[in-house]
Amino acid sequence: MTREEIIKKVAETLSEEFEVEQDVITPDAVIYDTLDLDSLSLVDLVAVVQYTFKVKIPVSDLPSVKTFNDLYDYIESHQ
Amino acid sequence: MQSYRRGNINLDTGLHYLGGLEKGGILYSRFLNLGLTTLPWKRMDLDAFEEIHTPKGLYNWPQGIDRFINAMLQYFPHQREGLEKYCQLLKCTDEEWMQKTNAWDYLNSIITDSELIEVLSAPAMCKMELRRQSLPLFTFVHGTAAFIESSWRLDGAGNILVECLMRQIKQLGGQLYANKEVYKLFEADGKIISAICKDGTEFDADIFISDAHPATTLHLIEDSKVIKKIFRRRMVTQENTAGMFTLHLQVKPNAIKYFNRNILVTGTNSVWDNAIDENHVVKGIMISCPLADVINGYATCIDILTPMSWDAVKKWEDSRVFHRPDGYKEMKDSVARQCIGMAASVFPELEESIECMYSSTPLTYRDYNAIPRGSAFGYRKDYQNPLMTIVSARTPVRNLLLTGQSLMLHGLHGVTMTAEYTLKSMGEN
Repeated sequence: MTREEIIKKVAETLSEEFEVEQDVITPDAVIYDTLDLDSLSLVDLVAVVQYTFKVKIPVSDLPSVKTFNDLYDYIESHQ
Repeated sequence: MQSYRRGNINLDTGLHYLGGLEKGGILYSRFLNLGLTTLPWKRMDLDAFEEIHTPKGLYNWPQGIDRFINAMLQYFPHQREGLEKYCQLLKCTDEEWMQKTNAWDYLNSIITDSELIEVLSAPAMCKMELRRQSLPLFTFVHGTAAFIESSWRLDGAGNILVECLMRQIKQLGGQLYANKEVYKLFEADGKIISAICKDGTEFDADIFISDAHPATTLHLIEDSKVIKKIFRRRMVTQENTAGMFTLHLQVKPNAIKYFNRNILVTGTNSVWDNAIDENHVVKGIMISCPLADVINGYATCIDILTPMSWDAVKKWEDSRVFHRPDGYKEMKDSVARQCIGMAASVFPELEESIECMYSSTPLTYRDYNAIPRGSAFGYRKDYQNPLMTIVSARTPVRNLLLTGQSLMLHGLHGVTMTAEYTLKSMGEN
């Protein structure tokens, strides 16, 4: 998947699963704030990425994924 | 823990024995707090609480970790180094490491004799899903170590344990309702307001705790403003462990003496990944003798268990209990005959001693206990993915909590620990 495809897919999937508007998912936006994540729904984010991109994010890597840009990078480098 | 009666005998669906109930044991203080230590527990045979028959030999498991390791050294003197590491493993308290470690791979990394791995694993066959690809070491150790320390049977039907808990709840001012099947949890303003039962009864409460399978619980909440699609999808699609085929044999009086141990019989296949599949071939069994109905030292009932996957019953999944289509009964009879045939290697007189038999499959578990795919141990834990497979007690609905075997650990010890975890989560909420 190209980076553009990843960006598009992340926007589509997360807006659908977390019930937010697509336009709030921007590269520099902070994921936790945008999706209103807590420790419980953080697992849901990991699940979406795993289901959609077949990429597993271990707990130890989560602190490095702060913005959507970080998430695109992570998926791109682990797919 | 539910038991039921057929004719004159009590049949237990799950409680066959438990471990760690000696003073200082992992379950003792918990059971003491719950008032359960006063129940008639009988210690199983000290020298052989597990008797394992493989095609290569007969092996007895004594109680006590040091005695156990010494006994294994007698059978496998060339595996001293591996057994010493295994002994350390049984005492290991590093939960995080064990949750991220594959049980099968770890055993193979410390033990080079495949027969010893079979012997160390056989009693776990009906206590957990022995799946090579996913089973965390944590689950394996928790389902093994406490039993080696001490193993016990309840001298009575599993119901007496339930009745004891019921008395405690009532003494604390609680009320219990039976035959009230909840069909809806009504949510408003991000909270569950009431549980509505099929008979129209409605229960309001500040806090709701569900010990039903998480997917079953989620199905009760149709409209929610706080449960996102992904949470629902995660709970519903997460994989479950395989189920169990259970055969209850009512035997003739004075035919088979009570045996205070479990007997494991394995075939040529490994006990790992040995659940009955769509070919309906039995690969290994556990034989247990319930104490509840022993008369003059003789058994009135013998239970035989063997793991059974959903694939074995999938073709009848649209049927419900008492309305199974053709073929299902024949399949059950065939599996039962194989189990009895395997048990005959230890009890040659078994077949002619049988008065009648009752059996259950994952379909039975599904229909009576509302467990998806009749899973025996709830959600499958995966060493590669503990974050997703060890489910939180909290839910997006702030006053709804989960508990039970799917969350952290299964088994009597597991669900007791999980209940404590749920209470702790309630405090955090």
